Amino acid sequence: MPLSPHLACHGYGKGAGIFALMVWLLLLPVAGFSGDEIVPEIIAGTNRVDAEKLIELESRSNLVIIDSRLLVDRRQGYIEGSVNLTDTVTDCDSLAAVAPDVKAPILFYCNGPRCPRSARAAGIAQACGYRKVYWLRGGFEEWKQKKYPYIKK
Amino acid sequence: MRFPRLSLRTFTTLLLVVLSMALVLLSGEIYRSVAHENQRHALMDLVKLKATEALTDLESQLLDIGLAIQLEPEFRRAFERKDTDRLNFELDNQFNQYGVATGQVKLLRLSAYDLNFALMAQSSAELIDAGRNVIICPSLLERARARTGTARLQTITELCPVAGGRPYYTVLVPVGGLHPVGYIQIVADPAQSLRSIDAALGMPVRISLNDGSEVFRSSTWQDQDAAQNKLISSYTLTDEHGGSVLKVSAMTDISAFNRDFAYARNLVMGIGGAITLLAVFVAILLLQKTTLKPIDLLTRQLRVVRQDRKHLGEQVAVQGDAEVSELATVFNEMSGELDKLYHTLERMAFTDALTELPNRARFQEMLLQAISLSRMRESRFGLILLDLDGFKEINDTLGHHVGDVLLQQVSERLKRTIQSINIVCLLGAEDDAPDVLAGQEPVMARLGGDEFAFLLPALTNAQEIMTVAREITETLQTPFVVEGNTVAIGGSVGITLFPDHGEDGETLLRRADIALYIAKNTRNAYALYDPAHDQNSVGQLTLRAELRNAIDTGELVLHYQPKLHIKTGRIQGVEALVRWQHPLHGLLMPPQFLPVAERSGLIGVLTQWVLVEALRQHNVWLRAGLDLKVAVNLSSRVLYDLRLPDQIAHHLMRFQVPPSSLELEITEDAIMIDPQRALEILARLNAMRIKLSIDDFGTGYSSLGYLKRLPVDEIKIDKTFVMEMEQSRSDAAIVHATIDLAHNLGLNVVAEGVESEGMLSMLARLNCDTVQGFYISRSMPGDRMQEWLSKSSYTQHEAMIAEGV
Repeated sequence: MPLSPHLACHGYGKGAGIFALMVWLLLLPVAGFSGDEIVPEIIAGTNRVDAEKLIELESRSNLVIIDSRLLVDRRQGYIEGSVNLTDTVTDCDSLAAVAPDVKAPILFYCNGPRCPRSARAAGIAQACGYRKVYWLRGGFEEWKQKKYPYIKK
Repeated sequence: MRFPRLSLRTFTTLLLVVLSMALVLLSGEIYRSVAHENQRHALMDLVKLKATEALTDLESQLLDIGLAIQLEPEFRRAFERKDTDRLNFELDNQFNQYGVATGQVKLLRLSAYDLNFALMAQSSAELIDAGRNVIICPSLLERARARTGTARLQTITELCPVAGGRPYYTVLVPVGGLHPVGYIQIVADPAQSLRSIDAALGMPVRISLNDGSEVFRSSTWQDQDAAQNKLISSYTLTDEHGGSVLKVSAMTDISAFNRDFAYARNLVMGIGGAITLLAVFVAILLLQKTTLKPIDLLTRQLRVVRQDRKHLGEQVAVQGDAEVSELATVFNEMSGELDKLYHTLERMAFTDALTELPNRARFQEMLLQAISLSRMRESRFGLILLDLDGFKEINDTLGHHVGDVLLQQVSERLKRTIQSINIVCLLGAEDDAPDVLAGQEPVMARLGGDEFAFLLPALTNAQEIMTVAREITETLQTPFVVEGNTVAIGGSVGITLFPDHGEDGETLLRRADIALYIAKNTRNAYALYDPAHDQNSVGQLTLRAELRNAIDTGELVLHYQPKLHIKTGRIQGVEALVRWQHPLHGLLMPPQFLPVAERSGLIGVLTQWVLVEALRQHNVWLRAGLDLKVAVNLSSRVLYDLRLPDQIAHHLMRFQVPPSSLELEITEDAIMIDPQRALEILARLNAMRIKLSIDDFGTGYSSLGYLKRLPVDEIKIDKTFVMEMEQSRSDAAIVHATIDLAHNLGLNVVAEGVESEGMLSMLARLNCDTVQGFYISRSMPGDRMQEWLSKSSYTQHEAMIAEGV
């Protein structure tokens, strides 16, 4: 006996619904733990700068430069005078250890524009009360590409 | 030079094949060169990529070295103190530390500069020709010096222009990081790094300087000349200003490629050739179907029609494109019309329009067919010629229209007669196979005028044919009724038999004509040809054909015989006598051709000619001072023609001759045949004051009493009486009595045949008015008359005689 159109339609709709749910569940954790976390163009309350601005800031103030990368990345070369403080260990205490004065300018960078560590660290610094937070969004990639000298050990 | 004529098809095929071969070869050649060029380009891109990669690697290695050196505390200390010796030492130290050739990097020199790019120190290794304290690649320093701001912090790199026959690759690194105190320059050999391309590409590599001098060559490198199946591609590295520094060439073995390529090319050419041939084939097929085949069909039909016109009008079914279809339609239409026209012409050419019977040409053709058929079957057939008697008179008196209708009726009646004979024949031949009967139907034709002919193939002996001939003549004896006129005519028939009387058509027809002539002359209705006829009749028949021609070509002449008026001794007039100056038979006398003229209907034309000629001559004489009356003989045959008086009047007018100067001589029988009509004509002539005389008087049956009724002025006593007059008393008595009687009736008397003086004096005694004969003069041409008159004792002028007497 043939199925009525209503039954056939209902059965199909139910199957599609279950399939869509499964896809969503599968995609959810991938999005959550992906390294491709979307890096914002700007971070409210911080100053986004380029390599030239960094050089200028460094030359006229006691700028603290924080390298938010993992140590393994830092070994590929780093900006001279920067301090390594990986974002995962960045908090108000660790920040206070390298930059005790919250009124002094502080700059964060990491690998490049797709690296979220400096952004995250800059956010933490802001939360810890630093007034002049600077963010080199282009990171070490921009630095190296512009042929500025770096340190590699 | 002569080329063989090619048909459109062959020419097109050859052209297309040649074109397609050229196309295939060309495409193969283009394919080959394009393929090689592509290969070369691909290889060059590869060389460029690898060379750029090698230099980028070199730059990054040199940067690492530079950045590391400037960070060295000992070096930094010496630099900051500007301790040149110490710096030299440190640079040598560093130079040695990084090795003369660490892997692919071959360091050549390390130099230290202050912030103003003044040379402070240099490594001392003598690896290059340049001595100490020489700035290598000054262009790099110039570029560095030109920078401002943060750019001064940047490291810069350069592939230097060739100096001292060597290429240099150099990097300038600031000393002191973000707070530079000077610069360090690392110089290396780029060729050393580029060698690695060899391994990276897996190909032999050759590196040369801008001047062509070789810097490096792989052990497996082969010279271009020896490089069979090798493809060499080069990339030139340039300095900042675009000047060439190094040329990197790579060599690849393309034998495999060539092999593959040859295969591919052959495949391309093969497929191209196959496609082209297919296209050619299809094109030819189309051409064949749409154009060539239909045209071929039409051409073949034309050839067929040329061979046998029976095929005219046959329609040719042609399939093709629009133009060809139209051509075929026009061709078919034309063929059909030609066919119709041909049949019409054929009918016109072979059919007598009046009676719808076959004409002479057709009859002759049928005669030939009958002859060949009879020869084949060894059979006989009969030929009948029929000539209507008195048709000419009917035509002249009742008009041509009546004559035509009569001919139609005659042919209809004869057709029925023949058909009934045919039925009898077919019944008689019942036992024969039907094919034997083919071509055995009697044939009837109108040969022209009142002449008909019959072919009787089924009749085999003379007796049967004579029977048919009799039937034919008897059929005609019943009078015809044409438009209210009852017309009685007769017919004469001549008969010949094949092969008895002739083996060919011409002979049969000619002999049938002779037989016909005999029938007419013997007053029999029909006659079978008899060889005895030939002797006396052939000449006559020939004359008949020639006479018509003679009148036109001037073979006829008039001679004139003088008539002497006895009492005055004056030549009063002449009698015109017609002669025929025949090209073969010489001068012919009237009895030799006049009967022919009368039978063949030429007498009318002849009479007209004689009248005109006589009047013309009269005029000539008149102008010469001779007034001679002219007498012209009228045949009894022309006395049927009611048009005659008018015609004579016309001629008199034309030559300005008074009617009294013309005499017309008629015979007695002329009036006997159709007295009423003859009387009417004579009365009209008399009314015109033309003198009329009865010729040959005494030979006929007319009585003098009868003469009274005639409007004649004169009688001419026949010469037979006159000539016998001296010997025969009875003839003399007849002449005497005739003269007396004529005088009593008021008629003049002319005596003909006067041959002696005795006769003349006798006639003078009998009171004869005029004499004519050899004694006076024989007849003579008109132009001799004057001469004769002047020599003779006779005169022409009445007055002169009167004076003389």
